[in-house]
Amino acid sequence: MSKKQPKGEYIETDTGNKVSRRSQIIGTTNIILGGKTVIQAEVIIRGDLLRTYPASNPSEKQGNTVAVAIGRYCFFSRGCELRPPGKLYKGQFSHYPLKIADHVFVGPSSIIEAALIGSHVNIGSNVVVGKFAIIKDYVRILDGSVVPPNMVIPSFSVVAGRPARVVGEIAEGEVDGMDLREVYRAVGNG
Amino acid sequence: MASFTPYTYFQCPCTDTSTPTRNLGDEQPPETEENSDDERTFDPRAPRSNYSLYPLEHLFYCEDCHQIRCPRCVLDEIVTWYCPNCLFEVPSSTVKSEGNRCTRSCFQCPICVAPLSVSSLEAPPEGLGAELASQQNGPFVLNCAYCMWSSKETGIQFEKPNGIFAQLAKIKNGGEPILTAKDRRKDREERKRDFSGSSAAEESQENEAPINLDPNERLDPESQFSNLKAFYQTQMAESSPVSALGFTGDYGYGSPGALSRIMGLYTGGSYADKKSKTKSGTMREARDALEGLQIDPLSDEDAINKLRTEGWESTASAEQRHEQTTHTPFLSDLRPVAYLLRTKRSKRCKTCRHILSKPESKVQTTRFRIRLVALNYIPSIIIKPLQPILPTASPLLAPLNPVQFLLTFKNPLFDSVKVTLATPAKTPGRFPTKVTVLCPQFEVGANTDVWDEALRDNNTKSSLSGEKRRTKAEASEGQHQAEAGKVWERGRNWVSVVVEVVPPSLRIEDSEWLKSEEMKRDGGEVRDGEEVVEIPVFVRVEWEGEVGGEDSGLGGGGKDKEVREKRELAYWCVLGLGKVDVD
Amino acid sequence: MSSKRASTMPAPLKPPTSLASSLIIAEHASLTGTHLITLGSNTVVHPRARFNSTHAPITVGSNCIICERSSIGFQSEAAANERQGILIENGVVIEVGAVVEARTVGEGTIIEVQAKIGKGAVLGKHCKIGPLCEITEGEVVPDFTVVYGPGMRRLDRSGVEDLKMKMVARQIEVLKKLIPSNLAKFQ
Repeated sequence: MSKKQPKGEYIETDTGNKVSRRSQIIGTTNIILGGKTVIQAEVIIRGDLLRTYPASNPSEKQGNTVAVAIGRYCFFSRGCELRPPGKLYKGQFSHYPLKIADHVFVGPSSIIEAALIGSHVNIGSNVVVGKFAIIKDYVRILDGSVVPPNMVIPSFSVVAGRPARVVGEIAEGEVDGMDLREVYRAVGNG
Repeated sequence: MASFTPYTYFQCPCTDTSTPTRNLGDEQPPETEENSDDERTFDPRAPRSNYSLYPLEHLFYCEDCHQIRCPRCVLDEIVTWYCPNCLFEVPSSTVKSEGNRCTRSCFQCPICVAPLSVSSLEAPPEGLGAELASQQNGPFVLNCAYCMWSSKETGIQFEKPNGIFAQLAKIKNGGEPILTAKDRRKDREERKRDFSGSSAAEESQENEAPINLDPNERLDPESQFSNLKAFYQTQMAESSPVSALGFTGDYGYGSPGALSRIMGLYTGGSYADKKSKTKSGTMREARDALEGLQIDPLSDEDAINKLRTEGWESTASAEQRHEQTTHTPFLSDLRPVAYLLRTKRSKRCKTCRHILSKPESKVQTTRFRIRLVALNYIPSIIIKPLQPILPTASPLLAPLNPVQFLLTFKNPLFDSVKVTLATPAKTPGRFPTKVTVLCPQFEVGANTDVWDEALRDNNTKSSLSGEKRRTKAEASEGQHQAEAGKVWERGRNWVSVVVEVVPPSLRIEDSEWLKSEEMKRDGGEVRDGEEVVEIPVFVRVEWEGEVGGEDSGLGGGGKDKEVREKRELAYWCVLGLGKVDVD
Repeated sequence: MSSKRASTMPAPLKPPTSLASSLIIAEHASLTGTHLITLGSNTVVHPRARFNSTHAPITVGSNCIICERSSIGFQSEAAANERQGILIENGVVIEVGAVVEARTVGEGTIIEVQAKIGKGAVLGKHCKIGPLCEITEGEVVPDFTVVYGPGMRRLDRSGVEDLKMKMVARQIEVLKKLIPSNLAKFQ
């Protein structure tokens, strides 16, 4: 946020989301923001990559198509990207929704193509999260890691490397520090 | 490189650093000083210090010992075993019988450790989940979406998309079936009967027909082990009655020999004697592959030939071989690696055995039943430079130039605490930093608002006004000077104090009078880590806490529950403030 | 932010282009430079993908997928053997944020997220350059090479390249429905 724009960097929504004017959000109608989420400049969210394969769940069929669902108190740093993953299923290619729970931090320039990210997940900078990865709650992914496609990362893991593997555990005392409410409050138009 | 994040480490008292240690490069052991333990300064650079310093988040607090506990002084107890890939819980009985690997379909790539997924050979291998495979017909393969390795490369294909572990156990690299242990046992019994000559000839012929094992076959390691084991077990059983006391190698109480010996004891010896007289078994060694013997002069030759034709490219790296359970010199020998199980563990204090942390046993829940972390008991310390660093300024500390840092102590307790800080005037080591804590004694308010966490959203107003007050104070006192004996800033449950340091000059060729004692003794080059300014601080925290029901032991006079009891906790901290400019 | 500005202001340099009629190119893609940019049939260009033909022409074959933020084109003066420009053959996938300055990218090759292909490199057919991997300037990478991890290499002998090409084609069918094309803007 080196450049301060006269209008103020962020647009604040009714539910308290702070979305940078310089973010690049595509397909906004297919994106759900849970509230109090921060989206910084140059963040790309690909809401246009919708699921084309018919859903097995009949409730999903009725028009409420969601490509990216994000919970509360998430923080997407400058230049990161959220992209619904795609694969071939029963001979048909389709994208599938990317679901992100609460208190998820994504560092600058990281590319996320996961299927699911749990709560209290901290993803460093320049991380690549491969297609259909599943990241459970309380996980820290260190800078520059490449999480391979389809990887499942269990709770309380510290993950690093190319390809990423579990390199440590989140200590019991670190759990409280992964709350992002303070971080959210610190973001403003100042 | 140049950037530096200040840090605070806390010393766990479990490590006894009172024994003098030798620094690398010391000519002779340092003279033992006559200082009493209390007066000795903790040296953050001492070789042993690393093992006792932890960030606050990694420490526990034992409510019974009233002491900090670190990962080295707690006992781990496994609550649950689970597979980190499918997240299924594995009962401990299965762990004992099947080993600590996932026995479903979870495998890691033998080339790059990324997860493998099952896919049908008829569909493109990339990005397919296992669920796809169930819709399609085989054959199926395991493949890695990261490095594109496929089990097809080593000639392994599966008939079903599930239960890969069991299927893989029956296939060799190349696709040949592995004889199951059951088949082998059958064959062994067969041979035993032949050997002893007790069975009818016809019978043995009949049974031999379906599986005719080659006594010179090349065994896979598992079969070799099971063959060897079975062979020696039979040997033990046969020979044990003869050995002097019946105690052979593995004290085989389970063997028939031992049983007969015990029977013999009760029946007056006749039982055992009869047997030992009739049968004069002596131990022998394995003779062929069926008994687990592998003499394979060809294997070395094959290996050399393979190296000649396929070259270095075809060999497995040390890391790849490390993941494998058997000897795998070539890439074509590598097998998919079943995921190692992970555990959820509870932690106990080593001294009093009370539980410090206990997670819920279910794999998918992240809650804790008990979680006594030091973070909730001892004040945290946050370091900030007093003067904001301009982005253009060098992040390094200028030598011999006083700098001030702000230490913010935040009290997690519901009682106010009295904090006393003590630092050496000069830090230990060859390049001593001069340290002055401007306000070494202060009180930090209680963390009163119990519901703060829950209500913080509604409370933002009050905290905001607090923020404003602070900024106003800063604005009005533009030349606000840090005063000795005075707290810099104070909040509900936090206090900031100023510490002033004079970083050392790292020049070796300083004139003699500038040199420290240590420097005179050891005039070597600047070693790695010596440019970091680390300040040992002795923190003493005193407070009056409620007497809990359980802790009657240490506090003294804790009989009445209404009585408030004086508590004290003292520990060393190390503050990493910055790096000194080397020039 | 620069890309946004480029889209709102009249583009300073609109390069000559030869675009196939079945090309899908998103409005927010950017084509700049002075040399010819050729994009083949059934190729999909995601929004925020960047082509820069300032130093040499760019040719992309058919059935390719060029993802957002990827950058294709030499970033400095072309050497004598690079004058031909960049040739990307059929069925190539260039993932998010990849930087491609190769002379040739062979058929069916996948360049993963934020991989960097150094200037003048030649990639063979059906290669896979893993996420964050780098190929140095002028390097020649043989067919079927997989680059992964911290610069590890191996040859993919699984022999499923036809299936992979089919999969890319399927993906393109879907993307055609999802990405609105604005061919006119770039012609």
